[in-house]
Amino acid sequence: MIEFNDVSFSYNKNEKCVKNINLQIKSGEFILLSGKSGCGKSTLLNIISGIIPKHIKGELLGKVTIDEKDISKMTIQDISRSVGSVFQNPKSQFFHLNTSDEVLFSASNKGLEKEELSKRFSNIVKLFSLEKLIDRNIFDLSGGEKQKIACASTCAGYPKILVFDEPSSNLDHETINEYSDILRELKRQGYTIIIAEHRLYYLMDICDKVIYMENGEIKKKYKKDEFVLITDDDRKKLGLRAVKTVEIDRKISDINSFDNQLYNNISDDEKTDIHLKNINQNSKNKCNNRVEIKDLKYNYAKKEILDIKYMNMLSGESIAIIGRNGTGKSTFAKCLCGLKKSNGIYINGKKCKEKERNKKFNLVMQDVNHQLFTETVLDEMLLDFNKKEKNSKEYAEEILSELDLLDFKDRHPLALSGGQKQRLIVGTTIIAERNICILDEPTSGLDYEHMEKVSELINKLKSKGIIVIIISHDYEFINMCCDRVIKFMK
Amino acid sequence: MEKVKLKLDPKTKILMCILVNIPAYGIANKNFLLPFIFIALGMLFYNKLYRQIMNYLIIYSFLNIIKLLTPILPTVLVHMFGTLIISFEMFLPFIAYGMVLIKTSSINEVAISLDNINAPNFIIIPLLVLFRFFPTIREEKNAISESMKLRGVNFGFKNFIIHPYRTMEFMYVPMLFVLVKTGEELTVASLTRGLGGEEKRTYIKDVKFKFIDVLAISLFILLIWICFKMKGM
Repeated sequence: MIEFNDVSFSYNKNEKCVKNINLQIKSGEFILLSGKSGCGKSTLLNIISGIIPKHIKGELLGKVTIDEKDISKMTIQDISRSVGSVFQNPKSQFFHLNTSDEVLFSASNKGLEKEELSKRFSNIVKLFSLEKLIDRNIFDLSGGEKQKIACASTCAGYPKILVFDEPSSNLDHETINEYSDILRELKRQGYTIIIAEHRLYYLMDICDKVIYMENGEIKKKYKKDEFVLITDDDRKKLGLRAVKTVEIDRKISDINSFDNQLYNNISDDEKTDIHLKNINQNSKNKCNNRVEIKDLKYNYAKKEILDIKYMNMLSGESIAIIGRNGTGKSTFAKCLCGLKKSNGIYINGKKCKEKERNKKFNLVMQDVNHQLFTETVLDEMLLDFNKKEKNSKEYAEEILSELDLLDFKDRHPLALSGGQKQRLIVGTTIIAERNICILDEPTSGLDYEHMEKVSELINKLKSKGIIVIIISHDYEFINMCCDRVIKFMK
Repeated sequence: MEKVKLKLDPKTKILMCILVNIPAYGIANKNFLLPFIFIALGMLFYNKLYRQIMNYLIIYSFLNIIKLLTPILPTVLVHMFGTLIISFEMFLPFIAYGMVLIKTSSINEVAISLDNINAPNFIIIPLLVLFRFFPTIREEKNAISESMKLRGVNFGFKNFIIHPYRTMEFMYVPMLFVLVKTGEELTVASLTRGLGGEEKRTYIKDVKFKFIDVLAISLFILLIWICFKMKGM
């Protein structure tokens, strides 16, 4: 079906993104592409869909054929008849603002008859169970729902090959399970599926082959049975995520449950003891930071979104918040930071208003590009610093070097890589001596190595006595660095 | 029985956007422009877009208050901003009709309507992308101003007065970056879904150029003609 014949691609002459790819994919196969970030997975997918070299320019050597037709002689639109693509970011793969229009978008571009269009529409709605989602504004949907619509829209073009680029990055645990059911059904219907992904566990019982890539080359092709047998240590060396479903091995308490209250009824001294075990020795003296939440309520459009009776957080503690999309996790983060009007937050026993919370809490958003303003990395740090102190520059540089950012101090913040941007924003939290740092989905779309780095970063924050709150669906990551877990329910 | 909602073809609305500039720039008299603005606001009201009406009225009154203040303001200021304000005033009717077009028609309707008259792709596709970007800009703006608040550099009145340049920069640099990125990803997604191919696009829904559209355009042109007559031109 798809054949790669000694294919290499480079954006510029010196650096090859993928090299010497030889690969045959049979009709109806389910192929999983794995490997560290930047290993060339996405490039390979873009070559199949024709985006490379027709839209993204560069030098493509070798020959790629689909159904024995050379794709270099086809236009992107021709290729799109046999190849459908689903991308990582649910936000930016929509052309229409209405879900029904979007579902039909790719079919609509193919010059079909009206009857055929309505037939396809009802087929697709049934296949993806979209009954509740049709005819709605796309901006009102959750990430998981958007990703479902994107997949539906692609399938409505009836391609033979489906190409997925990290579709699960923004999905919660339950939604990923639903998504894997959809993929299984698509495979049953005979689609050839190629998927590049960091989270592997949900694909293990569907995929036929796993291809491991490194530095733009195919290092190894595994049959599924062989791949499952790789030991955990070897897998981590390859930089890959868990193969089996991960369960949280920490204590999980429901946001309003008795468990949570029980935890809060232990005396503070005891709690401090518990936490000190987890905190670096040198930061013991900084443990003077306690945040309580009493009767936090938030309503939007006359609907109750949050109602939290009591919650207690101590310095150096890292708390994971889990729960399905739409249970108010992000709203909770914004309430804490004072971006949304809400009462009932106390710092060291003192009630704290929204304006004050703006200064004491920081939020690392999912899209970090919204949060960098100045012209150099160093300026970005100094923006938060109390200007009265003379040695502010030295102090900022000290923190930058701790975060491995000192070499980049004169760069423009937006020119950094995703992980570096994240570290820089965390750095501004440290320099401004804020009490709480909230991270919204810090590991979405990260491989094992980068996930470990974020976990180190969180330990650094903890050692400074900062309370870390992590909103995440990534159980593997939560097991790595969170002290306790709170589950949000509707 | 359900009340049938009157709906104009997007073509009609686009035509109105263009036509309204004739009296706006040709007559350039506030009193003659009022009926046109009034019609546009009426259409917004019919579609229950009250917030848009409020926003428009705020801009409109703000501009007129400045104009009333001109005798008191120092001459330097009047010279500096006079042209700007007058040209903005001539632009106001267009803004009103643009709001009607964007708020009352979906991307799909515009596409259907323009495909019906076989408008070329190089006109249709940029127009659709423009439509797609308005809500995106609003969403990004909210996210950026929230993070500005957290860093103590609010996108507010106070900072606008104290650090006008810095506040603008902090808003627009990340905004441009995010929009360029979104634009690129959107292009790739649309191309792989076959946008811009040679086949004629087809749709389930239908948008028809009806009698009401002919009537609306005729009345609109008549009104322009009357305005010019009364002005004695």
